[in-house]
Amino acid sequence: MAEADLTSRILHALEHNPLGDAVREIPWLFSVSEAIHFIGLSIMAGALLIIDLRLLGFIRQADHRTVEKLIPVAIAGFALNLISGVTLFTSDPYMYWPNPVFKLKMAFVLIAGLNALWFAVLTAKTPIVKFSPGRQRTLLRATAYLSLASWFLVILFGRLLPTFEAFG
Amino acid sequence: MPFLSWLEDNPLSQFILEDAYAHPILLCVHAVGMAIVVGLVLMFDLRVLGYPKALPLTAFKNLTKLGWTGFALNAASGVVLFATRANTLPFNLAFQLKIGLILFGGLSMWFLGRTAHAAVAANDDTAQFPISTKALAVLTALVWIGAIVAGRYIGYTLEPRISIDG
Repeated sequence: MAEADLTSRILHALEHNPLGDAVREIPWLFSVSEAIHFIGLSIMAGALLIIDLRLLGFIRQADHRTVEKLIPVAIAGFALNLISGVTLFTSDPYMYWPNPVFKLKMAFVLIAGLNALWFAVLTAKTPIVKFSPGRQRTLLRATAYLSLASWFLVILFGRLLPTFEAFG
Repeated sequence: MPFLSWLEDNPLSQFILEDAYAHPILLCVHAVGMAIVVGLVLMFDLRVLGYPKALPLTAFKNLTKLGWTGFALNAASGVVLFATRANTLPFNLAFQLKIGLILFGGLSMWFLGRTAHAAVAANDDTAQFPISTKALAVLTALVWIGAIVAGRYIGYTLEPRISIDG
């Protein structure tokens, strides 16, 4: 199948490159990347909890514009996890890719990412305080629920990866 | 030690070791609790450092309850996970380091919280802090990050028993 062929070519390319070689040859690089992955997820979770709980009306002491300053912090956490995640993946793409939980995790990263994009579009034109009660606010709250739910599922699926390795 | 052996040999620990899902589920709970506790600690440290400057300190009042909930999740899942390895973990350097860092991190968080409380009591909800308090915030962040790293390394230093859990 052409599609399967493309997948295996991509996996091959991800395995055979300087990063993949490095993470297999340098003994501490894998464990350090794993530790960074846990630190990055904590940074992201902390920033997103405050951002999303504010959208849901839990931390009314803080105004929206102040809380929005934590968005770059969440993005920084994501950047750490993207870099460390790619490093971990290149160590053994053929082990990660067939794992059904890995695909689930990536699907929810995609959902969470699209949701973040949707939030950015919604708030680009109108500042949050100007959102009218009713439909507009409901849309905003929906992005907050979806963000919390999908990112915490990403954590759960990530932690379950080794358990489902054999299922691939 | 008899107590440690009892912890490891009791029916709950044996169930967790033998059941296919109990151990991974506990690890998931421990990861979610970690994300909540360390995430909120890091955001509080960042606020003490002055970012975002205008974020009111009282905003962390509601978040404190959430932080303690995360801590309770991790204390509960941690005790149960510890029991399954009670004969080994007390003598494991990474584990000793992790517990030491959590105690230290808890103490410095308590101290930072007290400082923030004092500012709020003086009606200064958007207080900025002196360099000594900021230094403690940096130290607190490093200590909690250290606890994560030490925790991660426990997995590398233990003899595999349930090999599929990594």
